[in-house]
Amino acid sequence: MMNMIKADFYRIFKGVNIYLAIGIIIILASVSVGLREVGHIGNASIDYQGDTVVEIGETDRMPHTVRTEEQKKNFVVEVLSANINLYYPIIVIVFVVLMADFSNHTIKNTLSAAVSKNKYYLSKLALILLLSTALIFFNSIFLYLLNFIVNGKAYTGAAARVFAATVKQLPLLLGTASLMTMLGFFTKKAAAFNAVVIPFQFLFQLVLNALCVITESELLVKFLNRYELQAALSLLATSKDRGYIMTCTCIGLAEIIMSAVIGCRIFKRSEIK
Amino acid sequence: MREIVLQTRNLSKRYKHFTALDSVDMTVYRGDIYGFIGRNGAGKTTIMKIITGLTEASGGEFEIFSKKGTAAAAQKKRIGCLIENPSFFANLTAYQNLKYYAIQKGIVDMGQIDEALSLVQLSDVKDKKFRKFSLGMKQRLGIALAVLDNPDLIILDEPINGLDPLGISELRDTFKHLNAERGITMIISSHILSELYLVANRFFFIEKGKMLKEITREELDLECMRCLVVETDSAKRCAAVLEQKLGITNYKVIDAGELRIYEEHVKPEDLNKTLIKNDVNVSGIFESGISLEDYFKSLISGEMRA
Repeated sequence: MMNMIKADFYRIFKGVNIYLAIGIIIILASVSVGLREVGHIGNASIDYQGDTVVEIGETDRMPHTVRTEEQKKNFVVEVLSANINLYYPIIVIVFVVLMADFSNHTIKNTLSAAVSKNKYYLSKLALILLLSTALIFFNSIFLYLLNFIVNGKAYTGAAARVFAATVKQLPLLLGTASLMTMLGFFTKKAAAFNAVVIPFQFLFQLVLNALCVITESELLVKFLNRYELQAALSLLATSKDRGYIMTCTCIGLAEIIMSAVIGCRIFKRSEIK
Repeated sequence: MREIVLQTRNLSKRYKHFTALDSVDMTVYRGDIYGFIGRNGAGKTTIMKIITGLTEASGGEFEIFSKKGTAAAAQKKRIGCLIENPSFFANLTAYQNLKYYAIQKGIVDMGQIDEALSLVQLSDVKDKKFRKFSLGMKQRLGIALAVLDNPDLIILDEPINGLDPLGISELRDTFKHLNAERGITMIISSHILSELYLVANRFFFIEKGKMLKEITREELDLECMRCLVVETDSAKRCAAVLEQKLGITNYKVIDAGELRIYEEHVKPEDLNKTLIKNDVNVSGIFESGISLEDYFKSLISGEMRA
């Protein structure tokens, strides 16, 4: 298994796609730091007051010139609250590590001579989680340092707060990476994987929103506002509620374990063409 | 007794409404170059996929290096294979692709990569990206991967596809070299019998998922060789007459009523007279002998009639 991971490391860094994921992170961080604005995308970025669309997020509601000293110090953590943006670099990681093997049909070379299907699944998952973790921390560290260089001490709070925000978000982001891995093994084709995974987050939000409106269920509204990925990442960045943090951590770990078990079973029965 | 490398018993593979493999029994001995012959879709690749773990059998079992079930899976490290088309990472060079698999297989000596590339005459283009390779070069790189860590068994699925005549000839020599010098057992599939005939020592004919025949090269030669077929009431007595009265020793008793003579210049009319004089009833004497392709066709048509 270690040999497989080592081999994939060698291959991945010989290609250019991994640098695309790093590039996306650098661009997103640079734009946020340069504009001193939080770069939200998707459902959590907007709210409605009557017919008017307004952005949500404490810092977003005001120009950076009128923020308090505390709000300025909290800027990097505010940017991290928009870490749903990492959804796309994580797709790139899953693609580079796993889907490249399917699209080039090289998976049969590995399975026919080197490892079992279970070991193959687990080593791919381990590498995806490892690279995702590295990318998530790279995002935080790069953002922190770039912000310090560009915006100075006034906009830079304690590094420990940035580290804590990142650690709190990590299980949910890794859970998402694990789910994507399962979908990769399920679809087994690069185009199908992209077609499912890229719009998945937004379709999921759309369906939840629609269900909230149709059923008027308080439970669903609570889930959408607190445990849906984008909302949870946003809240986790600043949350000090231990119970909430623990619940989100458990959800992330459950996603990893369940998707790994289901994915392994699906893959074991599947035919390699 | 020769060591068995691979043995299948009633190996079957069924899809919903289609039987890809139907109770196949085959035996591959150490040192064999085992030729898998069948038309496209006959089931050759399915057997190879089951053996290499790319798909699971619906029934039956196989033993590889005397190991069955999960223990057999652990023997995969002793196998090098090329199943269907050669597949590599398009954005990596030939050397990088082999290095990827060398790391994956835990090979420490990277000199083995150059050795494998040299064996298939790809050393000059080792830094060329796989996507720029011709079909023949891709095939050869696939073979280089199969031999990379000196396996005990190599499984090659249609390895001569896309190669030019010179390339086929070079590859044939490579197979013979690997077999003779390194003692590697090989299973090679093809739908071109004449090509396989030049390298293999044992053959396995398959059609529509069913085994038609497992035969050695010598037996195949005898089956195809030009000969006089004698149909008689007693092959045993006939054989005695051939040896004692006509001095013919190059013959084979097929069954109780049939005998084949492989010596040239034996005239059917003289043979008939001698046999009758010695109280051997002859119901027929005729010339036989077919080409490899005709032999294959006859096996298939026999299967079709069955």
